[in-house]
Amino acid sequence: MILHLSHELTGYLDGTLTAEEASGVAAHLAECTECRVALDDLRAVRSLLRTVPPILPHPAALSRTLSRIALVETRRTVPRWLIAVATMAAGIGLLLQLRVPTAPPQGTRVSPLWYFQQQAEFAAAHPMADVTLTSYLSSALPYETFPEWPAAQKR
Amino acid sequence: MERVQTPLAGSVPETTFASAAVRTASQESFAELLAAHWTHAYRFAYYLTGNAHDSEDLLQQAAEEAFRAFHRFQPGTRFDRWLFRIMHNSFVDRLRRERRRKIFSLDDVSGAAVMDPTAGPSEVAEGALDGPVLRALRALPPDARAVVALVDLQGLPYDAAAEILRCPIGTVRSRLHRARLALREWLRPYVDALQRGEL
Repeated sequence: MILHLSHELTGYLDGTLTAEEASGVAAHLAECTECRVALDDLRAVRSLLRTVPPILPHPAALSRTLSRIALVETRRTVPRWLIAVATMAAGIGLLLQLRVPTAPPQGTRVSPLWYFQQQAEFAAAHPMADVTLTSYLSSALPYETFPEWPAAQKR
Repeated sequence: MERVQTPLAGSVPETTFASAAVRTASQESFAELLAAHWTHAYRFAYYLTGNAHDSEDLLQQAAEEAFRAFHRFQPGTRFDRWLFRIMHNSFVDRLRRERRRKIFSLDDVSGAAVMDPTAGPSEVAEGALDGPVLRALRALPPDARAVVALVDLQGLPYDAAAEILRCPIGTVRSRLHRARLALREWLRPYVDALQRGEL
């Protein structure tokens, strides 16, 4: 039984086979009428395809396309991995109730607001913590923090 | 496809970016490259889609996508292959989304869909051959149509087609072979006429 050539014929027709492959195909063609007919058919098909006249675009098509491109914003979208990492970091921060520490004012004179702000933030983040409850119940103020307060000056 | 080496600035229409407030260097560079390869790109789009309206639409979409990704284009490489690849990807995506066209199997070689019974070799001799050939081309599956369009109609080598279609060269050859066999059956009267020397 003769094994006929397949896509080797197309490669042979287009001259894309190696020299060794091409000589093998040529040897087969010398003996096989069926493959020679197939090769002639493929050559005719290729010739038919080459008779298709060149198709030209509409003269205004390029200008239209370039005008639209001019309006295209060259914005670069945020990579998805960056969105995922940022979301994960925010989620972890929320779960662990991490607080961004507020830097205390520099100098000897400390704004009283800073102390209450710290307390309020901590109480909001840890509503049932012992320290929070103690803070609620305690009327004692850290006078050393507010040396200018009248209560501290009395001491 | 031979690479265009001529000065390209003159090929860009004067009114190209007339409506845009800012003409960036990137836009100018892209416009020159696109203008240089415009005709070949349009032909590839036409062979893929089969009509002027869809081909212009496809090329428009591919050009916009290419411009958005232009910062990733490496100068010195083949712009036409890069654009063709983007356009082919757009075409495949479009086919998947729309599912409008009936895709014929290469094994189902009936030829009824592409053969015009009234057309004969005499009509072929009068220059109307591109009609049946293009109809047969449209009846091919999209992957085979793309290979025929690139290699047989655009004259690109196998390695360029493989680069554009992102497949091995062996796949290009086998797809091309199957496509030509199908076209042989569909275009049998013309093939016979050509071999008899009547064309």
